[in-house]
Order: sequence, then structure tokens, then C-alpha cells
Amino acid sequence: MSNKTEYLLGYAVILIGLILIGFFFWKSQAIDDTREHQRYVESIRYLQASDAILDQHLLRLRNGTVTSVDRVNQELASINRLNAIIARPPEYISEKGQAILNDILANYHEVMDRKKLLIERFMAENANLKTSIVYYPILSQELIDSLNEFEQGKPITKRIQALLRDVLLFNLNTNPALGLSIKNQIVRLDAAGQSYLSGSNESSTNPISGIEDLSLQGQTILRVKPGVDSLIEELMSIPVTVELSSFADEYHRWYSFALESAKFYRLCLYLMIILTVVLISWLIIRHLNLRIKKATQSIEEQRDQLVVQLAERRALSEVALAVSSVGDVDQILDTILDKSRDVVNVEASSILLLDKEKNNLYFHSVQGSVSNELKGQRIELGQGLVGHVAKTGSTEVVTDPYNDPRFNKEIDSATGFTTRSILTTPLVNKEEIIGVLQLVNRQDVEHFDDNDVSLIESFAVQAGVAIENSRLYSDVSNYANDLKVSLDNERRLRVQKQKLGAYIPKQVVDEISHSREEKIALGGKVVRATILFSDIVGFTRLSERLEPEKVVDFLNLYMTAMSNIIEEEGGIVDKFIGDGIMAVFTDNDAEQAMAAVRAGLRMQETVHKDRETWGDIDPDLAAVEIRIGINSGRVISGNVGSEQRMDYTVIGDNVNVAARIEQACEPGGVLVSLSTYEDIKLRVKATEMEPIKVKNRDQAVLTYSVTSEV
Amino acid sequence: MVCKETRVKFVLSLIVVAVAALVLATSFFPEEPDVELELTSTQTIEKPEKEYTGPIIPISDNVKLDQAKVALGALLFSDPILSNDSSVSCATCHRLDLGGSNGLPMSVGISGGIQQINVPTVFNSGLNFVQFWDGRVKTLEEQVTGPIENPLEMGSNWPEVIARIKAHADYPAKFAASYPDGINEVSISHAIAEFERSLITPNSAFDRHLKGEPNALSKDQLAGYQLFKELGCVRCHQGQGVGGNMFQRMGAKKDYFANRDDLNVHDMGRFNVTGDEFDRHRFKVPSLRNVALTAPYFHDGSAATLEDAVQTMVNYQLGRRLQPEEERLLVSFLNSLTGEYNGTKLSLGSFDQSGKKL
Repeated sequence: MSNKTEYLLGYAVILIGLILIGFFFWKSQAIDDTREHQRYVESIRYLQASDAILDQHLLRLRNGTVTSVDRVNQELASINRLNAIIARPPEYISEKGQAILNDILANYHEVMDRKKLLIERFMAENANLKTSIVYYPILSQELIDSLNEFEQGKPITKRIQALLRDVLLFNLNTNPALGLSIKNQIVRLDAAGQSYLSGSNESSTNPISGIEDLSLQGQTILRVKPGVDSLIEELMSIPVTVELSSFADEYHRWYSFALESAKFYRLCLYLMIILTVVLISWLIIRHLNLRIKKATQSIEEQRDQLVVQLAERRALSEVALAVSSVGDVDQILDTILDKSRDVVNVEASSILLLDKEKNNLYFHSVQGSVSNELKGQRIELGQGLVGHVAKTGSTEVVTDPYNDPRFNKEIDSATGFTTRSILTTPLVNKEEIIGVLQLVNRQDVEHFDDNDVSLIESFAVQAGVAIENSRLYSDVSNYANDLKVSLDNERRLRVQKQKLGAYIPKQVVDEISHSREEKIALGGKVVRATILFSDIVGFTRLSERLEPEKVVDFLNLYMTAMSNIIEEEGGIVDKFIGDGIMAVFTDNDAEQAMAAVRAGLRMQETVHKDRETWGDIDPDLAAVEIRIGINSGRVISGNVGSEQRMDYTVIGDNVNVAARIEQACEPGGVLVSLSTYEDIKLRVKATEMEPIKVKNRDQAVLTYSVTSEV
Repeated sequence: MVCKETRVKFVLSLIVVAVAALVLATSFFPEEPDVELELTSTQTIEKPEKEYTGPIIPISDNVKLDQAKVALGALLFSDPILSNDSSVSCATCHRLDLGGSNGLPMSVGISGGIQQINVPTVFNSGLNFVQFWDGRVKTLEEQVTGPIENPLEMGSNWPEVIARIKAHADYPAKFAASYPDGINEVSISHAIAEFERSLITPNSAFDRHLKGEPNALSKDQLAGYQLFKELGCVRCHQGQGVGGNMFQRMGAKKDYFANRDDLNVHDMGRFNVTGDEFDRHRFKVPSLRNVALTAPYFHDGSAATLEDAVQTMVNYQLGRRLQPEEERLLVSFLNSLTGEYNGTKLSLGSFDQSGKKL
């Protein structure tokens, strides 16, 4: 089950919980207002009271202590109103309870209706009976009194008295036999009355009507009294109280049930609230736990990464240590392979080195199951992935080698190895590819990732450095051997140099003595050089005129000054040609032209400054002017001559052009060719001069007269 | 130290939560019951200000009514709008100037329709325990329908009456003011009944006597009351209404209808309602309040004068004979039962038909 569904389920359960809480709250509040119950119970009680009062009043009516029936009607009205109230049991009574209560109510109403009917009749009959019962003794006494006045009335009086006694007895005790007797007595009294009437005079009719009245009242009593008795009997026995009590009991039962239910629902409510709160808390805790778990996980991941990085660093530093320590290159490369496998887990790895002579790659170090088969095998440049990488110098990651056209399947088929993924990176030393580092079949994870690549590239750099160091080491040991020989040679050369110095330019001597070549070989090389030519204007005529000692004195002064200037500016005085000087500037392609021009300008300056002192030798020398021509270009430099007599010089067309420019120069000026000017034009003040025609060149050479440095 | 501090914090927060829970819980504490419960049942028992032990009780003038409804009922009471041809109102028969009756032995309805039954007085009709001679309805409200739908009286019906009242210029507004449900059978009946309940006549000489006023009754009247009790009249004519609170057979002792050859349906009395032989010729005992003003008497209007009525009653209901002196005393007593309406003693012509004082 995913987290999301779990959460959704949690929320659903909470929602259901809240709905249940609402439901339970509603249910538990069913009897929130106890007044309704009290009102209802009071109504039942008042109903019972009203019924009792009603009964009481009926009995009082019956025994004649009250006459007014208002109270009966009042109680009946009360009962009607109360009936209306209890007809609707409170809503908290359950449906079943309502039905049962309504059943009892129906019974009660039936009984009550019967009671009302009986009361109605009772009130009428009782009133009727009462008038007769009250009147009967009065009438009897009146009759007896009037009859007693006459002798013949006396037997009738006795009858009346007997009847009165019986009627009063009947009123107390409704005896059917007594009733029958009274009935007979009335009949006989009536007959006696008639006979009395027939045997008396007219003046005594009054008692007769009295007998008739008495008979009427007696008959009324006889007729009504049993009815009233049975009415009151039935009224008293009518089970209104029973019905009401059972109704009250039943109501209380159902009220208790409702109360218990409400309590139960309240309990459920509390439980539900607790459950919901617990659930919500659980969800929150869970949520927090998950977050903590996630955080922990990410921290652990980062820690793992750090551990890996640390291992990589350690591997790298170990490799670096191995590399920096002087040791066997094979051993170092093995270390590099080992360490690379420590940080990038692969099935196999190898280092191939480039054989420059044969222009192919050979397996230098191989680790893995098929290392023995591979050792010493050679792979042509451009062939297979390693060949390709060795050629292009860029790292390649191949995840599906069998579908890569560059992949060489032959090795796999030959060794029975299955290549799944390859990481190949070049070993570079001083921008030169010297070999390839290859890792095969990444373990643990599917493919090589960017991290692997950068890691392995840094290993490759270390490997490159290791190989370089190894070479340097062997070089240094060679140098140490050479140094001894060189020191001996140096000593010998120093003696020679002092001798040679007069004839061979100092720098050439220095160069020869510093050269690592054991002997000065014939032959030269093409170098770019700037050649400076100078000569003294009209020196031939002057020398013819001057004494030879004066000429040598002057030349020694002049040449020394000029040579110093040239050497100071980094040039080499190649040769003195009579009064002329040929100087070569070969160092520093960019600066050689400027050095030559600066030398030229300084030479002119020196001549103008020093020629007054030269006037001491001869006054004509005070007006000496020199010409200077400079040209830059490719020349052949080297030792020219025979084994016994060698001349280190430069030769070539550009030397001739320089000589030619010098001849075209104005006295006191410095004339340069275009090729020289191109290098210095931004740094000098110069005027373009007439182009000069030079032998063996179709185009005239553009010349510029330099007057000063900027 | 830090651990101790957090523990103290924890305990403190626990206490705070507990206190909050307690405060919250107190809101669930049940309400204390009211000291005095307002019970509907207490309203049902209206105890009179003074306990009267005698058979007759003075009319209470302490009747609480909605005066706006009473006024509305008064208008309807005297408005012929209730009758089919707008010729007859309640007041046509229940003339307040004639003691709440019409002075005739029978009722005269629309188109001269004659109902062979005496019009009972509308005064104090609210005191009657049932309405009509045969008590076929319990309340005044129910009673209203009877005359309206009786073809011999108003000859109308409710839909018609309601439509007419709704179309009236004044009634809708008056009804709207008093009855949220507006004009309908219930509200019309209630308004009329409410007015009728206001038609009480307290403060009669006899009531004043009962309340202890000396010399409220003359000697004859006092003697008449004594006779009233001795003869047994008071057995039926008792209570606040001096009658009107029970049924009794017309001819309790002797057959009132024996010599009658023109018996009609109205003579059957309550039998018409219950179908029970017991109830044949049984009628509601009429109130004797203002009886001096409501001649002729009995359900059939057969007694033209009080003297006639007294004689008939004593003869048939009590089986007795009445001396002329006794008759005079009884009538004298009955005259003391005439009360006051709106503070004015009721007499023939003291009010107009609609009950306005003249």
C-alpha cells in the first residue's frame, strides 16, 4: 500500500470519525433539555391527579355533599388539555416506545371516553335521583301529617311509613328484593289511595294527589337508583388510573432507555473523539516520522557519498603519492589500476600505452579475468574503441558496445569475455596522447556515470604524470652521467674559448661551450634572423690618406665601441669586413628586429658623440659618418667551412639584401627593409624611402629610414 | 540540568492542558434546573380567587381575551357577510338587545327559514360545557360552523364565507393583524368565539350576594333562592352558569312529551347525537343567567313567561306542585340572575343588536 492511499484512508477514517462524532453528539443531546421530560411527567401526574379529583368529586356528587358539577367539567377540560399534551410523547422516545405508548394511550382514551359518557349520564341521573330522595321523606311526612287528621287515613299512613322506611333503606342498599317489595307497596298504596278517595268526602282530595306524587317519586327512586349505583360503581372501577399508571411506567421505561441510549452515545462520542484524536496524532507522528526517515535517508546518502568521495580522494592521494615517489613506472601504473578499481568497481581494467615508433597501442597493465591473454597485445591507432580514443583524445562511455561500430568484438570473441559497458579515457602528457586507460563492465550499478568519468579522468591525469615522471627520472639519471663529461669538456673549452674569442664571436663560443652536443657538428639549420650591416662612409679614401697606425688605432676604438653596442643589444658580431660590420640577431623572433634597430640607432648616436675624440687621432676623423642597413628573414645558420677551420655564420639571400640596403643608406642613417619594419613599425619613427632593386629579386625591396625610437 | 528543565516544561504544559480541558469540560456541565418549572399543567388548573362552597358560583370577570380578536369577532358577529344572501348575521338571532336571543320560540334564518328550536342566549355561552341544545359540539369555535352551514339559518358554507371575507375591504387587514395564517375557517371561528367568550354577564345581584355584598338580594329573592335549593332546581341549575354544565332529560319525573302530538326532530334532543335510547329527550340544561330576558323558554319555546317555565319545570322535572307564592318567590330569585355586560346591567333594550350600549 502506497503512502498516498494510506493517507487518503487515514483522512477518510478521520472524516468518518468526525461524522460519527457529529452523529453521537446529536444522539447524546437527545435529552439535552430535561424540562421536556419533566413537563411530560408532570402532565401525566396532573392527569392522574385530575382523574382522582374527578372521582372524588363524583363521589361527593353521589353522596350529595356537593351540588355543582362545574368542578367535574373543569377536571374533564383539564384532562382534555393534558390528553392533548401526552398524546405526543417526546421525540427522544424511540419509535417502538412511541408505538407502545400510543397503544396504551388508545386504550386509555377508550376507557376515558367511556368514563366521560358515564359521567354525563351519572350527573343527569344523580341530579334526578337526588331531587326525589330529598323530596320523598318531606312529602311522606306532609302526607302522613295530613292523613293523620282523618281516621280513615291512618292505615294509609302506616303504609306510607313502611314505604318510607323501605325507600330510605333502598337508598342505602340497592337490594333487588327490596325494590320489588317497594314496587308492590307503591301499587298497594296507590290502590289504598283510590279506595280512600272513593270512601271520603271531597274536601280531602289533597292527600290523594300527595299519594300520587309520592308514588311518582318512589317510582323515580326505584327506576333511577340502581342505574346511579351501577354508574358510580362502573365509574369507580373504570381502569383509568391503571391505564395511566401503566402509561407512566411504560413512559419511564422508555425514558430510561432513551437516557441510557444518550449515555451510551455520549460514551461513544468520547470514545470516538479519543479515537479520532489518536488517529490524527498517529497520522501526524507518522508524517513526521516519514519526514525524519527521509531526512535520515538523505543524510545517510550524503554520508555514503562522502565516504565514497573520501575513498576516491584517498585512492587519488595514494596514487599521487605513488606517482610522486620515484619508482618503477609499471608498478605505478598497476597501483593506478588497482586504485581506480577501488573507487569504480569494474570487472576488468587496462592501461594501453602508445608506441610512437610503431604508431600502435600495446597493453601495458591489465587486470581482470583475461589479463594474461591481453598482455602484450597490440592495437592499431584508430582501431577499436581504444584506438579511437587514443586518436581523438576524448573520453568515451559506451553502454551498448555490441551496437557501437567502434567496438572491437574480436578481443571478446578471442577471450570469451562479454563486454557490457566500457569507459575509455586517454592518458595525456603535455598535450600529447601517450596511452589509454580503459575500464570494462561496471559492477554494482548498470552503467558508468558522470562521477565515474570525472574520477577516471583524474586517474588518467595521474597516470600521465606518472609516466612523465618515469621518463624524467630516466632522463635525470642520463643527465647525471652526461654531466661529468660536460664538466670536463667545459674546462677544456674555457681554454679554447679565450683563444677563439678574438676570432669567433663571443656568443658563438658560448653557445658552443654550452651546447649539449658533444662536438660541434657541421651543417646548419634555417632560422629567422635579423642581419645588420654597417660601414664608414668614404673610409677607403680616408685610409689611403691616413697613416696605417692611425687607421688601426681608430678601427680598434670604433670596432670595440660598435661591438659592445651590438652585444649589449643581444646581437652577434658575425664578422668584420674591413671597416664594415656584419651582425646577426637570432634570439627571440619578435624582439630581434627591434634589438637590431636599437643597436643601429645607438651606433649612429655613439659615432656622433665619439667622433670628436677620434679627431685627436686625425682631424678628418672628426667628420666620420657611417651607414647602417638592416634586414630580417630566414637564413641558414651554422658552422660553415672545413673540419679544421669552421666559421659559424649565417648565409642566404636575406644577408645579401641587408648588405644591399646598407649601401643604399644615407650617411648617418639607419635604413631597414619592410620585413624588419613590419616588426618594429609601432615602436619607431621612420620614413619610407625609395625601394631598392636587389639582385636575384623580381620585386624591389621597400625601405624605411628609422630616425629614433618612439 | 537541561533534562530537568525540559521535564519541568513538560509538567507545566501538562498542567496547562489539564486546566484547559477542565475549563472546556465545565462548558459541558449540565444546566441547573429552573427553580420554578413552567408547567403547562399549572395553567390548566385555574383556581378561583375565592373558594365558593355553594352550588352556585359567581361569574368570574377575570377572563383573559385578545381584545383585537374580540373586536374582529364582534364585527363578524353582526355582519351578514356570513350568510348566503347577506341577510342574516349571528346577531340576527342572538340579539344582544334581547338578552342574546331573539325573543321568538324559533330561529328565523335566510329567506325566512324557520328552525323549530328556540335560540339559546349567546350571553355566557362560553360557560356552557357543550354547545347547542343537544350538545353536539364542545366548543364555541366548533359551534360557529353550525348556523353558517344550516340551510335554514345562514345557508352558506366555508369556502363561500372565506372568499367573501377575503374580498372584503377591511377584514383582510384586520385578520392579518391578529392571525398569522390569515383568513380561514379556524381564524374566523376563533374570532367569533373569542367575541362570544367576552359576552359574559358578571356582577348580577345574586353574584354580588354570593360575593358577600349585604342587601344585594331582596327578602323575596333570598326566599326564592332557598326554595330553588329546596325544590331541587339547583340539582341541575348549578355552577357558574346556573346550568349549562350537564345534560338532563326533559321530563325527568313525568313524560313532558306524552301529550304532544307534534313531535319533531329537535324534540329528540341528544338522541340525535348519540343514537342512544338513554339520550332521547335529553337536552343540555340551559343556563339561568339573565333568564328574565330570554323568554320564551325551553328548546321548543313553549313557555312564554318565566312563571310558565317555572311551573313546567317544577311539574315535569321535579314532580312537585308549586304554590302561587312559591312561584312568585322563585321568579323573584330568577330575576336576581340578570348580570352586567360591559359594566351595564342587562335589560331589554339596554343594548343595540350588536351589543352597543344604548
